[in-house]
Amino acid sequence: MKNEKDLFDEIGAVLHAHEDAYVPGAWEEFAKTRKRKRGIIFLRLAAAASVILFIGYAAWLFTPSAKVDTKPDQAKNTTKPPYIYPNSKHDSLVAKQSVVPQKSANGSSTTTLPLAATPQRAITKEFLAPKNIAEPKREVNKGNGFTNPSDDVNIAGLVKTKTDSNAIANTVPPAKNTVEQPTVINNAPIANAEPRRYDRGTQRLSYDSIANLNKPKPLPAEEKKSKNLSYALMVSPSVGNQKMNFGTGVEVAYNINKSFSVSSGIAYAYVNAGAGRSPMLDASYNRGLQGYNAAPSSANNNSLSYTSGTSSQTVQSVKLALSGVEIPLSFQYKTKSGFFISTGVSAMSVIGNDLSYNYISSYATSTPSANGLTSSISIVSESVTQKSSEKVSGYVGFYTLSAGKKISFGKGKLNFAPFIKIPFSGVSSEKIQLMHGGVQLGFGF
Amino acid sequence: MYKTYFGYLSGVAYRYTKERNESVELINDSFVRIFKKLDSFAFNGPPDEKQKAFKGWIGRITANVAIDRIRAKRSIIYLEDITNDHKADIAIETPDTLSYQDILALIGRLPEVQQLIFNMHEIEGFSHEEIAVKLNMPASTSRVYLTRAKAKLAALYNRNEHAR
Repeated sequence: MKNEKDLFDEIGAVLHAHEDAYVPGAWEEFAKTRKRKRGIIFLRLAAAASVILFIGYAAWLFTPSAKVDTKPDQAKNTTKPPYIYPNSKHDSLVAKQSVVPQKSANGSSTTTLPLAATPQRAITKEFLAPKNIAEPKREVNKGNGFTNPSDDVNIAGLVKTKTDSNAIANTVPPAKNTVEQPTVINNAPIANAEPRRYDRGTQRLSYDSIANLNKPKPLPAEEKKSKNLSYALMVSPSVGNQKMNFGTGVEVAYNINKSFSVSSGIAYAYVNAGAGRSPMLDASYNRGLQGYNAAPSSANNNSLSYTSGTSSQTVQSVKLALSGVEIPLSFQYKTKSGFFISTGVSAMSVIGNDLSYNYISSYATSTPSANGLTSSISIVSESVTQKSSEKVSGYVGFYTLSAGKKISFGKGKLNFAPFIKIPFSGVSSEKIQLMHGGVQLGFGF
Repeated sequence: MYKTYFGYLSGVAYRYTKERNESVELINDSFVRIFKKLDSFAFNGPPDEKQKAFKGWIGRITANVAIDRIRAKRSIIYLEDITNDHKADIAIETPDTLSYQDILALIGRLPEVQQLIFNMHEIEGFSHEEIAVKLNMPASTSRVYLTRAKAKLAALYNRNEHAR
């Protein structure tokens, strides 16, 4: 007698100790399969990397850089220094003037300008009236685009503020013409700014004019639209590892610039593919398919025959046909001569599928001879196709690569582009690869 | 390593697939996973136990791959009535040494889900909680199935002994 625990311990020990014999060639087969899978993975990674690189390059290429043409903002900014005439008498005046702040009796700072070359009356007149200093700002704000050169000189010269204690300490006795700085003016930005000069000779320009100096001439709206968008009717016959595939649809391309475009669209696609079954899989399918033709009967016109009650079935191949709506998205680089290369992805929404197994069904047939004394037994093999009830639904993704040429044809363009589509993964429970390639023919307008 | 452990994994795979050819494919898938995870194998026990531990580790990986494949191919249907559960320590006639084929034949007579759970728990050493996650069932159900599997195995074995 033996208790339950001993029994199961023994079962465990026997099963753990058991080792089957090594199957010759198994390692070689394993290595070969791994190499093939690694190749497929590499291909997928390479396709994904190329798409990402292309998108990244396109993004970098078309990201707006810091434009020099920011003058519209400048024109609105009232704190910017106004236009100054080059080589004018005011320039020399600014250069010669030294600003000396002074402290007056009531504590406010004053500025002394040694105006050797300046008519004293004019300067005094300008500085005594605070609104003369603030005036240029108002004028610019109004957007009339013109500035008063004499005011500009004064603003550039008045650089000292009320709180400049060092300057106050070094105050020298005022000359005749002392001007009290208006305390309401915050002129620090103006004082620190360098006078700006534009190489326009002595021509006087408003800020708006300067801002628009380098602006490209805008295209008419209709012309721009027609340049950016292009449409094409496409037909794309292709071949996989089975029969011909077919696709047709409409493509819309947005021309980012002369060299790059991004395209999308919608198309109907019919794709089919098959897969052979290696002997190692046959057995499992045999088991699954047993019973389909378990008792085939055959009728012979001349002699009575009967079949054995069992048959053997060997799966030879699996076929899958899919139809659906495909939405591609691709980036295209084109040359001036009309050649282009395109890469992208596409998603196919499956609306119909047909999965079928082809297998060889073999069974024994016994046929009595004419005299009835002997009978001959023959093995009959027939090819049978069995449809699967499995439904493939959802989306099937592809990487797409194509290269071709566009040729002008009348008002439109003929496209001729060989392409290859690589699926993201296998489809259905059989993991069938729907890789296919063909030629895309289109007429663009 | 492939050739060294091929035979052992073949035995493990066969218990789940019941098909020699399919088990080769399962072994290859298992080796792919083993090679990927090889760095994560660690054993701190005595050196002479290391190979045994390693065999257990690769056996569990193979069992995991097998369960994944079974789940992908079909859903396991639990039709058995799990009520009237009782564990009986059945007395068994002392047998001769059980052969590998005898054991496979015995296990093969169990319902499929019981075979799975028996193999996973008793042979590969999965806990009921792990089995529950793998087979998407409560751990208590796994316990019940194991109890029933053991009871049936013992009964079958005992019956065979009496028939001799």
